[in-house]
Amino acid sequence: MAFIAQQFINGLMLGSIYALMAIGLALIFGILRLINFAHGELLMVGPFFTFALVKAGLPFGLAAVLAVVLTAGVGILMERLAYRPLRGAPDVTLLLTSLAVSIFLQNSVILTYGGETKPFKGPEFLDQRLQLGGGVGVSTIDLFIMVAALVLLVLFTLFVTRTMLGVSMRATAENLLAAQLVGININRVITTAFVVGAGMAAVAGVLWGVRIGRIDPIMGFIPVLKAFVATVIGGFGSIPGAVLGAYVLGFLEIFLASWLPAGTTGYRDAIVFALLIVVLLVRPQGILGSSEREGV
Amino acid sequence: MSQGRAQFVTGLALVALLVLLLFGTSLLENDYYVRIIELIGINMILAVGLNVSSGFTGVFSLGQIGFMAIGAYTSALLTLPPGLKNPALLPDLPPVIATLDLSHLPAPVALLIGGMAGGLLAALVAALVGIPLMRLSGHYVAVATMGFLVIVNAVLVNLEGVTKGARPLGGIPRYTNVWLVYAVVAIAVYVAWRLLRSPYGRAMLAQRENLVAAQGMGVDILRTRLLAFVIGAFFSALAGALWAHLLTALSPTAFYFTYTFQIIIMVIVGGMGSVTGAVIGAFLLTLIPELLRGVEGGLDLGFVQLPPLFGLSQIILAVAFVLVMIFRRQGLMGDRELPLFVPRGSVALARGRAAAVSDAVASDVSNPTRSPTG
Repeated sequence: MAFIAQQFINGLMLGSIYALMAIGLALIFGILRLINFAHGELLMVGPFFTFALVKAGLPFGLAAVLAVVLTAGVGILMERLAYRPLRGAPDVTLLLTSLAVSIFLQNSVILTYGGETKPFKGPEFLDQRLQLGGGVGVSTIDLFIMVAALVLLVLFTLFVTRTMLGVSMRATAENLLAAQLVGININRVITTAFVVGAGMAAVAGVLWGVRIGRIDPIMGFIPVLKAFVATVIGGFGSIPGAVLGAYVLGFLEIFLASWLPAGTTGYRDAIVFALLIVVLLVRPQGILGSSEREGV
Repeated sequence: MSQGRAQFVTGLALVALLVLLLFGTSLLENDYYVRIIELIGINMILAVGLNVSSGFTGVFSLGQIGFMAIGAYTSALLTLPPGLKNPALLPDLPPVIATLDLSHLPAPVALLIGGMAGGLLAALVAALVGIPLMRLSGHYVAVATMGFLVIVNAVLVNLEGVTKGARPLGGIPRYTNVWLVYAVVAIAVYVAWRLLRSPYGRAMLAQRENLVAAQGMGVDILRTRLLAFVIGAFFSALAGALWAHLLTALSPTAFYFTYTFQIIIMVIVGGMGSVTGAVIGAFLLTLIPELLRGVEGGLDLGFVQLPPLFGLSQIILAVAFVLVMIFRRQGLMGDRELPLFVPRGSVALARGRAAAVSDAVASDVSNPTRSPTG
């Protein structure tokens, strides 16, 4: 029982990281029909900004907050310089461009800081372990990740349901042309989507870096792939679907890690991606996606 | 001279030019240059392969390098000397392969056996994977084939008893030489060319341009795409075998997203759907990063010393790619082939006809300043 509870906490933690990533991916896909591969690099530059600012003498908390702001700036630049000139281009063109953006950001960080892994240490209070009784424990960083994800999800929901900008964003995701016709400023909405997506990715990156205690220039690669799978499972472009998919994936991965026979745990990623292919074939619209279908 | 034949002659001329080029450099007997020329050839095969499977059909595959890995590992395991693949080293290798000794065969024959085995295995895998995947379109197929690449990588890393896992699989005999590489380049270019001019190739282009219209004309979409996917996989696997017998050591990390992206840039920069474009793209984009590598390692210009700049060549490539996407999305060649050997008359005729068509289209649409071909 304690084991199951412990795994439940692990799944919830992992799902929270994926959810923070998946929201941005789904948001940008919903509006631009762009699968933004470079989203993983936003997760990576967040902790690297933090690292640089801490080195410059700032306290960790302040550095992390500034890093999130700076990463949002990177998100804006990314859209301005690479994606905006290509608006309306075929899906695959956008997808490949985002691959190029991703390689650009990765190598810019390698150029600045070198390719090696860097130690990344958060404040003391994130280093503790709380006992919940019955042999179940949770580290403070895991707790922090779950709470942060919950808070951001609530704030995001309030934003898209209670503010004009948020409602315009949903309208644009629903139908870009119609949104334009009713006078929504598309560029403002798209910029906001990148700010929100990049900010959440940076939060996920800093928290993940603190949890594993190190950062490196390719740390965003696997999380963005996983966040993808999450958005596909939940339904491309559907934000509640992406969050749901993220938690489903988090639990599934923890389940596979602890129940797969020894020696096959290395195939975890293969199983996850096989699942992705199956979902694409059987239910390409995902769990919560609309019934739009692309295929032969 | 028909246009198709003329263009094939152009292709041969290009290859001949390169052979001449490498003949010149092999006179220099500089292993480094020869190696780069071999790598250029291997990338040409990969680019032509990707061009067939994705450029002709418009079904974008991010899994191409997975097939390359299959070819490389298959050929390597078949040709390894038995001493290097005994059960103590690779316990899960089937005994038939573990005891197979091709070392007494001449290098080209051994390479042919390894390469064909790898190519056929990759083609078989492509057919099996393609039956479900080729039903998808647009970014769905890109993501699904990317999933395939991740799965291939996971298998290579985890099947330690066969592939040595994440550790390098070394001791592969060095069979590859420039002549063999460019022989395969010529075959790949020839096959792509013939395919493009065949009913199958036209079906591929037709369903790329307009899926519904092609279906209406009786094109079997799934079978058409599958054929392109399988042929592309076969050539990628051949390239993989050549690569294995050039570098003599393999590890799964080589066959992942970095290489995938490099080949994609080559095809995009050269022009999707153009065979000569793919060849030119592979040539430029293998050579340029190699030249930039000198800059990366630090440069002494006499009066000023540049520090090593790791990652710079990748940054330049990425920026170049985005610029190509923004300003010349059809790539250097677009859909066209080099008109070098097309007789003057027929070029003029073809141009005149194309102009007439685009005029007719332009007068039809409301915005005459933008022709659909421009």
